[in-house]
Amino acid sequence: MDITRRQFVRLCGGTAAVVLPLGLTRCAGPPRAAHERIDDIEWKKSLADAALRVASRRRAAFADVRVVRNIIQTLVADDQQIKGVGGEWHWGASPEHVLEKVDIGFNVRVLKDGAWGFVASPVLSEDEGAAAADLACDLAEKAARTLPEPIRLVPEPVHVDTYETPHQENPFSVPLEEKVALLLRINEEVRKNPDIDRAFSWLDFWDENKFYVNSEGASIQQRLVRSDGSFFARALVDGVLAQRRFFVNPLNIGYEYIRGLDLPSHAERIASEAVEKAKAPVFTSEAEMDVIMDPQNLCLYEHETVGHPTELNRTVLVETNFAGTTFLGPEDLGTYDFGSKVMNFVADRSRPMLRSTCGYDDEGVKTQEWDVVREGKLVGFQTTREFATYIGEEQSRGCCMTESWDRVPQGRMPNLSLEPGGQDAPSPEELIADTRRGLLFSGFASRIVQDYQRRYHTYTANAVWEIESGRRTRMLRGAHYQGKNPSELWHRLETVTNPASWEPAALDSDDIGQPTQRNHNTHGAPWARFRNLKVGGPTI
Amino acid sequence: MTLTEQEVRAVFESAFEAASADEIELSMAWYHETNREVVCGSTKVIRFSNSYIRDDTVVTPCHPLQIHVAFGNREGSAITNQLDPAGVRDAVARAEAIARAATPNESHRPAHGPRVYPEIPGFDEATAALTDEERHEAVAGVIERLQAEGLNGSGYFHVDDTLEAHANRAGAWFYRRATKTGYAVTVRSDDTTGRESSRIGSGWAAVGDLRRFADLDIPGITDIAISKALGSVDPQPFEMGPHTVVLEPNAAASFIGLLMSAWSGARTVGAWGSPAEIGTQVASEHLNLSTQPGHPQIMGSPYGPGGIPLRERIWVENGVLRNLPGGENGPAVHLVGDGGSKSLEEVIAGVDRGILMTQNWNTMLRTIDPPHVNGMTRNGLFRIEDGQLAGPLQNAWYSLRLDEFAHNIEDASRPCKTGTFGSSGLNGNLMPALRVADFNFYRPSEAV
Repeated sequence: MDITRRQFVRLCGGTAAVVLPLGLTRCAGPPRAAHERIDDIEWKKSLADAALRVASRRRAAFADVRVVRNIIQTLVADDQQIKGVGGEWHWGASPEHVLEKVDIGFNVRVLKDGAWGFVASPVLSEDEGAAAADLACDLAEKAARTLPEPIRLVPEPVHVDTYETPHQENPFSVPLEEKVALLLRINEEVRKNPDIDRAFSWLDFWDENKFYVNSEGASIQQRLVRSDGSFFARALVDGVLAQRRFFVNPLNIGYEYIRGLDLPSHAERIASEAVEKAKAPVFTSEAEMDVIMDPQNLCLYEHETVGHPTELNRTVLVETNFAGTTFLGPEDLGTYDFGSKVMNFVADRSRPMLRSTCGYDDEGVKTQEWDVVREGKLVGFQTTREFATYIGEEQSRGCCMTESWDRVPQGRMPNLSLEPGGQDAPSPEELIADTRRGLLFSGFASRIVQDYQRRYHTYTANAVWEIESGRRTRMLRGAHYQGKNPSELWHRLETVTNPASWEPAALDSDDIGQPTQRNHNTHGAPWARFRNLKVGGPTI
Repeated sequence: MTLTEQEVRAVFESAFEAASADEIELSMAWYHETNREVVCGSTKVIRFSNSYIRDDTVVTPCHPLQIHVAFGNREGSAITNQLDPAGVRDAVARAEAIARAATPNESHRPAHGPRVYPEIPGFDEATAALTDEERHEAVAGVIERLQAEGLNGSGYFHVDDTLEAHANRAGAWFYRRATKTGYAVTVRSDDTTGRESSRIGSGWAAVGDLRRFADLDIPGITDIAISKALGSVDPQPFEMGPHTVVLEPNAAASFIGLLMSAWSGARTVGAWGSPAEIGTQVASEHLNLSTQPGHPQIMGSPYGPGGIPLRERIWVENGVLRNLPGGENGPAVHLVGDGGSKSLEEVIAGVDRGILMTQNWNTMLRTIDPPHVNGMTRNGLFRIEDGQLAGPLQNAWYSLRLDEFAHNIEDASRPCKTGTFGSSGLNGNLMPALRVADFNFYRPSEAV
């Protein structure tokens, strides 16, 4: 499964031109490193075909191969310093560190005797592909001995296609110096406010190159480009620290998005709001009040209260040992009364620019759009080719995903968004003007409470304003809202704003599985007003 | 195959040769990314749910090379898993490009020279050589039992063969192989899903970060989870408010991790707290905490941040803070919470009326001043009466002050190997069960 010791020793001997070093193929011609050949489809196909031939010879019912290269670049400025790592890799690189990462490998998954087997390797060669498939078949045969009944897959048309995130400017081609200058300028602008004690900005770019083939004939080359970046200001006033973040909606797009954001132009407002937050009184009431959430606050609420509960793999107890289950059961499809009539959730992986958007999922299913909640009724789950069989559906919704070559494909959350109201629905300003007394929650905050079946929820926000007589009056600190799903949450959704107010908000990250793997998804939303939500103060 | 010392040296040498920076530090070691742990070496995982194996996965050896360079005090970093000369050259060039573009790091520390590390063997040949058939057999027996008894089991069993290596141009060198295995299992008394599941029983047990597969008692761990699941069918409501609670070691680990962070003044809930003063009584006399990399049940890496050799260090002695993590003291890892010689059962036996907590969830600091903690019970909550378990209780949310929790510790057990697997810190550390007074529950939960 690995290069031989002899090959390695020859590599170490410095005669790399005539040997097979790590990560190289056995293809004819001068050896080239895998990262230099990642766009060579024929080269990747030769590896994949070698794997599929073995799977076929071993009589696997289904097999698929993914060759994946991820490049991730993270740049962080802490005040006027671009942060380095300081030799502490062993204790964990964190997002606060500047780095560029290249990660390449492939995996083979087989369905044999009704069970899955999965093998992944960073060594890209035909021999390795064949060996991986052989081992995956062995693993599946063993797993099959434990199965009460064989795993089945719903059919999917065979796709031969390519997909690339529409983008104008490759983020990795933009000079580092330019990115660094942008971050330092943002922080400089934030720091102009004398009550700010820290400015922190970051840029984050992904380039995912995935080649997928399966034993049914699918052959799909995809490239996903992701751009994200933002900043926060931290104020220190009379010993009170308060942080306000500028919420950028992360998208699948090129660097033109970052340019268009003009991040420094928002610095003054964000700094000023951080100071206002530090000076704000602490909210201490325990009451039921009208609550307005902006799209960036709603996105976490959507993710946890609708997204995780409608993951069919959680519903059927596949994630019980770690992430947990859900209050929904498969039998709830089509009958469960989730919320009010204005609650409409659409899942999709096909709307342009959203975080989970791509051409095909990680088992070759064409991405699509479908209803999950329509007028308050549960009408859809998130499925893969395997899990669709659990609810009698004839086609997968395309939610099979793997973060990287070394993680097994799993059912994961797609883009899942609350739909706006009609053209005659209010604008956010009109919604506030129409609210006699309430709280406005803006931007998500990690300070949340929820159980592992997603029954009970408590959420806070990056900023909270009091609304009195239709006007945003003053900022408050420490407020939260809470309730039991669904009667005290989505049934209290009363108004959603118009289509122009809908934003593709998204979280920084989402994880699931053992071992965990990340996921990117958008939870777009309009602004929304909930009537009589339970609200309270800092103790949640 | 995991790289040998000679092979790692060769890769490192190619990086040194490719670098033009003033300093270069190299590592091959596991590391954390957001929501993701990256293994350096091979990892084999069996994951089962609904009492059958749904993923048996093998990831062949991968050795991500972490490169950190500096021009003066301008730093840059890159990671690659492509160790051929071109891949290494490319990654070094990426790190150097970042360093050239970076601003000076005023706290830049020059690379340290050679250091002596305690010899702590962590590699078990038999564990590394475990065959796929043997891995399968290890869980097949428990799955057979779960199926025969009509129980719904979900589990995670992994075997890793890892390496950790570090070097720099100043002559520092460290290489260590280690094996790592662990097992966690959740058993539900039946297959009921959704809202109807609130009356079923659920149990959990786990042990993590063992060096030797021979020490991993998969049937024994599963027995515990089964017994908790069967014992918690039809859980009963109980009165919210303060109770005496016995936290099993895995549940205690969540709180001990938070306490160490709080005493260290570590960053929590977006702000830095103030470190506690050395010599103060930060907890009751029942709490003892130390770092012991060479403890026979830990056998952890002696390589600390910045290349600091990790040695035995006492943090809390009889509730008094003796040292704080950081700097030359190193981090609070490889923890041993020495609670004396009592077993868990003996700690329970000392409780007239109270509650036993198996596991917890979402236990986090919600505010830093006061240090307010909130969380929820999971997979087995039981009433204790006259020193005996007296029936299952409904899960519940709790809310309390962390500093009061520390002083309310009334008893502790001998430490046991934890298996928290990322759900709360300190996986594979040695933690005691703790008896804590006035542990405040505030809301029942139907979640199972």
